[in-house]
Amino acid sequence: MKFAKKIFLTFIVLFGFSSCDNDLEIVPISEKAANNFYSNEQELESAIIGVYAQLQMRGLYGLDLIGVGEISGEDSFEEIAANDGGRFGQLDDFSTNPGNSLVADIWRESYKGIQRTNVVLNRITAIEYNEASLKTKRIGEMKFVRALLYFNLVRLYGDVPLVIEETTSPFDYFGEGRIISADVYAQIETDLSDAIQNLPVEKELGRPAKGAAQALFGDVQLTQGNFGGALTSLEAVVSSNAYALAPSTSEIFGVANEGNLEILFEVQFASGFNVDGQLEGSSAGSQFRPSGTTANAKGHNLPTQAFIDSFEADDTRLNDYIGVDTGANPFYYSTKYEVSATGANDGGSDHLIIRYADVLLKYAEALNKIGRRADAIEQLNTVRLRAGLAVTTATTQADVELAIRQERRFELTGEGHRWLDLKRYGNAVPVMNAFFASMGSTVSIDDNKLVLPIPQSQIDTDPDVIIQNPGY
Amino acid sequence: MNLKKYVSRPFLLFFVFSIVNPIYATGITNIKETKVSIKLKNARLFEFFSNLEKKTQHGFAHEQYVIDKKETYGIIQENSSLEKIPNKLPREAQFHYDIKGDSIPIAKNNTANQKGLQQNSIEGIVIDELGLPLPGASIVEKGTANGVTSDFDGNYTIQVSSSNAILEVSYLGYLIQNIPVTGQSRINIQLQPDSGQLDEVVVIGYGTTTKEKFNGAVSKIRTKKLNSFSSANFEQALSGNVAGVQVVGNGKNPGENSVIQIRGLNTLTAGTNPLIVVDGNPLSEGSSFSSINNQDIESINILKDAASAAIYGSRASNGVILITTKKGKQGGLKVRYDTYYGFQDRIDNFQLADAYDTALFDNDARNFGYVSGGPGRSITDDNATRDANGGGKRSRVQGFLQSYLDGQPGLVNTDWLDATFRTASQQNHYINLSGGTEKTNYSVSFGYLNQENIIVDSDYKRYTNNIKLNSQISDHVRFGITSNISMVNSNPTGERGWSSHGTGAGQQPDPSYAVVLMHPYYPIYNLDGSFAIANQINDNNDNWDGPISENIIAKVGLTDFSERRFRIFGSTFIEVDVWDGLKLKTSLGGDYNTIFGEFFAPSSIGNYRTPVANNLAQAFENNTRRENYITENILTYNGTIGKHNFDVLFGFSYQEESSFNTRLESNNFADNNIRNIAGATNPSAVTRRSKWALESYYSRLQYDYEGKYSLSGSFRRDGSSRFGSNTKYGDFASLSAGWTLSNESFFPQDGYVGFTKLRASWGQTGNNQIGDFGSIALIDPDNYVLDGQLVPGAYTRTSPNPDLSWETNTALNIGLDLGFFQNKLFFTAEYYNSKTTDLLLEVPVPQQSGFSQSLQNIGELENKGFELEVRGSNFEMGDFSIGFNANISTNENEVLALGEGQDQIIANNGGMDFLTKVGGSIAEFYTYDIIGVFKDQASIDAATVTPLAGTEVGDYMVRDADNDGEITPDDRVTLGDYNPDFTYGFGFTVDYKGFDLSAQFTGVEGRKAADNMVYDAESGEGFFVPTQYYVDNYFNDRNPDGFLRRPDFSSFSSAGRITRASSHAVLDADYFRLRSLQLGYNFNDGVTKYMGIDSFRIYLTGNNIFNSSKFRGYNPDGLDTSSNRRQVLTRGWINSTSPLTRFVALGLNFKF
Repeated sequence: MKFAKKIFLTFIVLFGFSSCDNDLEIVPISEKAANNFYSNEQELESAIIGVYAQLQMRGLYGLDLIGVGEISGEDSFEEIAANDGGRFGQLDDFSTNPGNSLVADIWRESYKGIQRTNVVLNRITAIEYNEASLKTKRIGEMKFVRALLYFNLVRLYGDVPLVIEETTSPFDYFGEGRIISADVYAQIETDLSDAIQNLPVEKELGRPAKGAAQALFGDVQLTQGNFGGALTSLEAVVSSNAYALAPSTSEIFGVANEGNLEILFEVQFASGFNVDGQLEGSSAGSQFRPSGTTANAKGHNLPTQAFIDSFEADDTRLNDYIGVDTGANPFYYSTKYEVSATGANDGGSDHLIIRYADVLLKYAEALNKIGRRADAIEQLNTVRLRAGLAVTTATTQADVELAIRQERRFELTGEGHRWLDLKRYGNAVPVMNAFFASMGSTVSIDDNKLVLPIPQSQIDTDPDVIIQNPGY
Repeated sequence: MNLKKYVSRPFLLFFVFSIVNPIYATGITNIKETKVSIKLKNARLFEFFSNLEKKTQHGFAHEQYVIDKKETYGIIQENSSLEKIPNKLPREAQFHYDIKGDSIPIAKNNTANQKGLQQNSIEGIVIDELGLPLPGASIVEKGTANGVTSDFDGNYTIQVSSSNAILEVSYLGYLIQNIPVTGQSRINIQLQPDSGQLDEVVVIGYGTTTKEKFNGAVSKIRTKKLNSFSSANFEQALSGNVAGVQVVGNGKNPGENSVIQIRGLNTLTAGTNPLIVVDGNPLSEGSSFSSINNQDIESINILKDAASAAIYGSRASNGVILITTKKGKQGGLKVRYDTYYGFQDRIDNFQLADAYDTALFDNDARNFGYVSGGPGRSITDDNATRDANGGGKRSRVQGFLQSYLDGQPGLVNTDWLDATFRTASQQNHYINLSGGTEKTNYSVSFGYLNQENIIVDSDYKRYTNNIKLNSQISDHVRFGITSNISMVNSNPTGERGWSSHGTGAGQQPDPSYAVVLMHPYYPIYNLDGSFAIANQINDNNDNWDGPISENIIAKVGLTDFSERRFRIFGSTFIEVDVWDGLKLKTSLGGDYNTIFGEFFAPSSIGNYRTPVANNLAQAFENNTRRENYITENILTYNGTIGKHNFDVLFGFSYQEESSFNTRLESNNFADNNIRNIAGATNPSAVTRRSKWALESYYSRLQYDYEGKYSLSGSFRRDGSSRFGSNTKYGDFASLSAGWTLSNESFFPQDGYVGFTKLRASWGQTGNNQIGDFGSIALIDPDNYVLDGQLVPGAYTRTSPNPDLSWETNTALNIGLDLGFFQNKLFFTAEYYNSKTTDLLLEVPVPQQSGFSQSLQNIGELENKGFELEVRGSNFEMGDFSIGFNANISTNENEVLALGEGQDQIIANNGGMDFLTKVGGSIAEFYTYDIIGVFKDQASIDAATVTPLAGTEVGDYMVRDADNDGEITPDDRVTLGDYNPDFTYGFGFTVDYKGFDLSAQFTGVEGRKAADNMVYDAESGEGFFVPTQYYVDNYFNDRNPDGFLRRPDFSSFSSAGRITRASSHAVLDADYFRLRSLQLGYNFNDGVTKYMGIDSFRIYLTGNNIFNSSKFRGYNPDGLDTSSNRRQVLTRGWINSTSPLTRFVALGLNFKF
């Protein structure tokens, strides 16, 4: 071969060594990256939307928080204890074990939600908003949600780890154990005080306003036995005149009544959306139906016959809040959650976390505790009258207290309050044991059962510092 | 009749039109083919030889006549193989040589002496095992120096001294044959490859070498072994054949990959795929193996030790598999046609109870559940009373149960397993055309495989085409093209779909999995032959709340699920000889892969928990495209200084892959008329894109001294887009040394002990299989609705890690090769010890961080083991020729360190815990050890050890492992793992006249596994149809000695729930199998001559003819292969797999 030709070919080949335009800095193409996100108002706004979206999770208000608040109490039961790995069935007879998936889901999703608020709160200070007032408001919203999630955790699990910073490395949390609940409550109160200060009175759909923060603060105070504080907070809501009871008990729930004046804070759901396989509907509608009655009905959280029987005659709520599956043996269900027409687990009903009837009854509770019995009775009657009932006959402080407690059962049935109410009253153990005895059941509980077990997976992850609750 | 004449012409025509995009194959370098360029004018013979000696480093033992010869010759030969050099000299030179070892004896063609003697002229053709001509084979009259070599077309003519002479025919890499002439004048000789051959070519990264020079651990599988196991995928044929290599995973569909695991698990949460390199083209991880036709493969070389694999750097720590496809050989057009037709059947041990036994179980489960669910309940209560007592539908006893319990004959007793599986046919056709001239060779093949799935309503058709062309276009320039095209049309079955049919992953109907939900009381077909829809689903929905499942056979029958795949990969190279021994090669490779899948389920059948009336039609369409290209430039030099030989390599490569995926889904159909996404209104679309790039520089030096001492070192620097900005580049080095004792002068040359070599290697490799953007905190959308309007939301899904980097695997390998009886008996022993540091670990983290897992480089893992291989070949006993092989390997892994402050990871799958603890091995089953069943309340009350909370009669008694008098999660114990103590395989081949028989056995020992279906079916929960084993062994009145918990449908106790995953669910997963058995017959010359072809073989073949295993599930090898990642920490949990099958086929091979 001619020398020149050889040289020429060699150069062509050598060219290959240098002709590549290589790039090892490849950024995600169809996903966003955190290092250049959270950089302006618009992105922060979507991060805030992400916080609300988290509340839709099945482990939170999509299903579990409602279920745990109801099934643990005496008014609701699990149709088939063994269903879905017994995740709800175990709540019914307090045989909940640390491997229960509901226990794991509530824990995990709560902290994910908390982290989302932490991210926003950490980043938002450096971001310039067009309207400074909007930024202030958003900070208030995030503190409200964080307080709400911690309030749930501390009531359900007792002492819990407390994180209010954006996570830079998840490994930093190894060795960080549970914080005594008083300290968690202190943080909740700090967040709520800030929220009350930051939030405006006017409510925006799907977001909390000042009233929601005050109401939640009242609840937190009531739960800790601070009746005076609770009274102040709840009175502030009432006197703001920003909220009112819906005209009738049929005009509160359901897609048609969304955004009514009674709602202080809700998680919004809607059926028929499916983006990337992500639904915007709630599974409560299908799963809280007696088995076999609709697609994916699981018979979780059904009102008991005894509870249905205890409604006063003429109570409009029996008809408006409760449905019945007429079979040989009727099963009841809450109609506060609609079933979707587009498929299972995609119900459109919002979940009302705080509504005015609840506020009024808590207000009545605080009034009664503080000795303003007449005012308490007045608030109680407002709720009763709307339900088509006569004014209460209770007169003594003890009777009024009892009447308010009874009223909450009927008014708030199916919304996940009963168990938490019993715990707040401090009589959960005797009430439940009396209930079990009346059923002829051998189940009996002690104070240990007032909190859920800590998820076994979390104990397994960091066994030295995450210690199980006693009795589990 | 002359088939060749009629058949080959159309084929030739076809071939000419189909060459579009051909390849390069790695060149063979053995002594015979040592390439040499020689340029001499007027040189005497001894000058010629001394020149040749210098150039080749091979000694020529010559006699005086070479020096005496005064004539001078001229020879100019560029790059010719050593064996052909003599042909280039004029006949008058009168010599020949026969290459047998390093020293080459030159003999004089003693024509003068022979003139006076009686001459017998014999002619014929020498062919290889495939019937292709072997040019350059040596044919020597035994006991004399008289010999010739076969020519370009394999033809030879030799004059022998007597009609009783014996011809000794030899060719490097093939067995020597002695053939008595016995008066014949034409003798055709077929040589068989010598598996005990030592100078065999070892394919290594970016080149080839010989066993003498190679110091690492490699296992080689040849085409014949590969074809003894019939499967769409080559990896199944590896199982049991190679020490240190396990093939696990058993997909539901033909063509699905298994996982090839080389020397244990070197990672915890990164991918475990070895790197697959086809003809020099590294395929991207997770490549479908089935796009490579088994029959196109010439050989598979598995690089097991880190030193050999290190040249592939960051992708090599799971081992490297080098696949070489067939290339043409010199000679005219050769056509080969192979076909087989056979049937496949399930032979596993999974057995469900029939209707009568299921009725016993259901009756117990419903009664126990009811009675234990509340006070004041009696087993004698009727359904109305049970309802009134709040028992719920699961407490009712089905009305029809009593007639089953009474044993009334003729009731519906559907065998759903039987309906799910069938005897599946499989046929395969393969045509190969190959040939070549001195400068160019080609090979073209076409394959067609049509395989029915043993699961009903699913099949697989594959078309493959492989083209390879190499050419020496000028004295100093070569080029080659290779292309591999595959096309698949299949109707897959769903993967792990319970009894749902949805559009999500794993939601398509899968009868083999849903069968545990199909109660035998309901029929499959109506009397008119149509599907019996809605029987079970409606009955359970309305009355019993058993599995609200639709007839699964109807579901697969009425839904459409199809997949089309098209893939083409290949490369082209050009190589230039720049200087003596210095070569420059540049190549460009590409891989283009598309998958189109679609699914449609009509609204006319029910869905899980959704009776027909509430159901919607559903469909998806999935489009995936992956484009990968690689450019490579390699500079090599091989040179010799005295007795020192060097091979040096420098290379650079850049590889980039982009992938695109679009998925459309909808359940918005007006009706069932249009059976695809086109019929939907407003389908939702998901689009995903990804990309990675890898930039690499590598080099290697191989050195040897006189074939006695060899040293090798390599270095690679990889830069990857996948890793954090602080750690983009990684360096990987290796060193190895070997000592071939048998080449030493002191080594006894007595013929008993042959090739003997000691070798050691050390190297570092990496693992980068962590997904494309693992180092970046990703923002995912999480939308919300406000006032009925969708509002975009976002959140941080993954935690960032700018320091994310390679896993580094550092491994030591020590090996010994030992041959006996001219290497007919050959031992290889290996010991390895590898340590993985900077483990890429997706660890569970405290959830208050807002994350459940985080990907980090932490921890350390050790793997060590022994491997022993024995091969025997060509033991002749009369007309019998016998060969055998055996291998055994052990692997032990130990976790040395995990994350900071972390000494264990407990991962859970399906309720079963797996413990990965520092000081222990990976993923040990970690659960309660069951020591009995509580048979009455008294024994619970009297128990000295406080049982699990909520323990009821019929629940398990757990061993108090920590002796604290109380059963708590601390009493979980480790119960073995999936990693076997050892694996073994052995086999033999026997040839007798025209017959050949081969068998290969394989087994694993000391492996544990849990099977999801067995677990469900033996949970005692009335939801699932029980296994026969459970029915036979659960505690009840009929069986008071039963050792399994009693069934309970509605009020499963908390303790019962926890002990569902217990020692009873950890199954013995050992097995011993006759993996393959083949009996063949080669028709003799008379027949083939009549047919006008070169050879014709008929054979009967079988896979898994015999299987011995206690495993109660479908297949103990059936790890989930759908997602290779994240399975390591719960390895041993078999989610869903396909049964072990037996395959029997009849096959034919033609060559002409």
